[in-house]
Amino acid sequence: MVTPARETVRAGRLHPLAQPQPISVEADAAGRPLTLAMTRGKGRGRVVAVRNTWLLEDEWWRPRPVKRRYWAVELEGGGQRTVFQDLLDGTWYYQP
Amino acid sequence: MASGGSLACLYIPQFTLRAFFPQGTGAAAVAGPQGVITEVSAAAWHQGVRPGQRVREALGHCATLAIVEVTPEDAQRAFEPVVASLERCSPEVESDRPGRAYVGLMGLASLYRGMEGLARALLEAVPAPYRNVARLGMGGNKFVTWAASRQATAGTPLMLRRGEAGDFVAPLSISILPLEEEQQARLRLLGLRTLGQLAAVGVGPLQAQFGPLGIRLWEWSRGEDSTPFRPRGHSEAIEERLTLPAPIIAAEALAHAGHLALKRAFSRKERRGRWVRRLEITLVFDTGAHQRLRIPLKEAASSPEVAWNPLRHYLEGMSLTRPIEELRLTLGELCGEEGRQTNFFSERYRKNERELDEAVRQLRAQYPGISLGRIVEVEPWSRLPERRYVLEDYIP
Repeated sequence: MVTPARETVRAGRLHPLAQPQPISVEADAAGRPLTLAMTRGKGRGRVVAVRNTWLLEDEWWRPRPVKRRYWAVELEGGGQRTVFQDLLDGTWYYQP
Repeated sequence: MASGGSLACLYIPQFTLRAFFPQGTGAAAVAGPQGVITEVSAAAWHQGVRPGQRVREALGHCATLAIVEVTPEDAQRAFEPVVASLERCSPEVESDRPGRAYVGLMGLASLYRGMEGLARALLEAVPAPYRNVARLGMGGNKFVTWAASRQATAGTPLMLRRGEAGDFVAPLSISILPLEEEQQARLRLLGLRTLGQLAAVGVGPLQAQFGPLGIRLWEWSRGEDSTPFRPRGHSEAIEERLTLPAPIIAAEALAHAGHLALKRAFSRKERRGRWVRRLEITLVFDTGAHQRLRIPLKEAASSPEVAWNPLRHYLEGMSLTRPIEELRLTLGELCGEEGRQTNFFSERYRKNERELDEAVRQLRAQYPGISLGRIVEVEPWSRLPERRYVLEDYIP
């Protein structure tokens, strides 16, 4: 017999990766991040440069669509982070 | 157009009956897969058997009637020797149904000392059992040559010269038109019996009455036809037949049979050293009906493993409504060997993977409860980064 192409997926054995983590952000009136404060340690960081920014809109057909404003920023000390603001509820997230 | 036209139509009346009852005597009939009579012999006709009757009704008219059930595929296969013979005269031959073949004549007349010589060569090329009954029509398009072959007498070609087609078809009955019975009846209801009467109606009223078909009717009535002549391509094929020990209805079993047929076909001597560009699967159901599936391969396949993926995709996705008794698999469009750029490191990767599996087994044995995972692509195309990958427990 032919082995079925799709194996049964056991939910407990799959761990999502690159999950967004909540973050505190101070932003200016235009929504541009000025300081980041990670909620799980890693301290605060002042944004010295914005490398890139983009808007992501997806899954508009679902009850809760996705609408995010991404920012790729450089922190004081040289660290680089990608963060986004959920434009539906205004919360900020760090995107690993 | 040259005298005699650029196309010929060879017609063998009641081909299927002649092919499956070569002795040609007695009351005989051919039935299609649905149990409907399609062709009857003269003796059966005299007893009241007619095409379109059900088998039981036909037997009611003639108890000694010999009936053979023939599928369109079997009939076309029986016609294949005739087509192959015609291809020895002309490289362009199209057969759209058993007993009828169109032959392209362009540029051949000079090879056969004129159209008469060419016509004679075509009739002589017909295999012996059918040569005495074969009829040949020559003209400028498919409809006219078909009509001419129907009017021709056996062994004597009927050639239509330029400008003769309209006058030739005018007195012919509308029954010669390639129409459904319902459309024929509609024409008769309108009092139209011949193509000449049809031509007199004019294109406007015909189009108003029949829509797009009206234009075609008008063309045919004037001896014109825009149906393209499509000679068949020439490519080698290998067919493998698998008669199943018991009829199958499960898609998994069908996939299993398909895999077996594929491996057998690829192992055939005539395939060796050549690659395959197309697969064709024919499923024969318990009723005798056929279902054909044509699977073009994106890349020519050199082994059953490569061809199996697209075939499996089709077979496992099928929902079977009737049990299958036979499976035929054809490897088509065989071509010369092609190169394929494979991964130079693939074997090394496989070796590494085996080593990794072994290392994981040893680690688990040494440290029970240890958590080991591997990253798996889930939706690598997703714009949301968290949807692209998941970490899965490593199971060697």
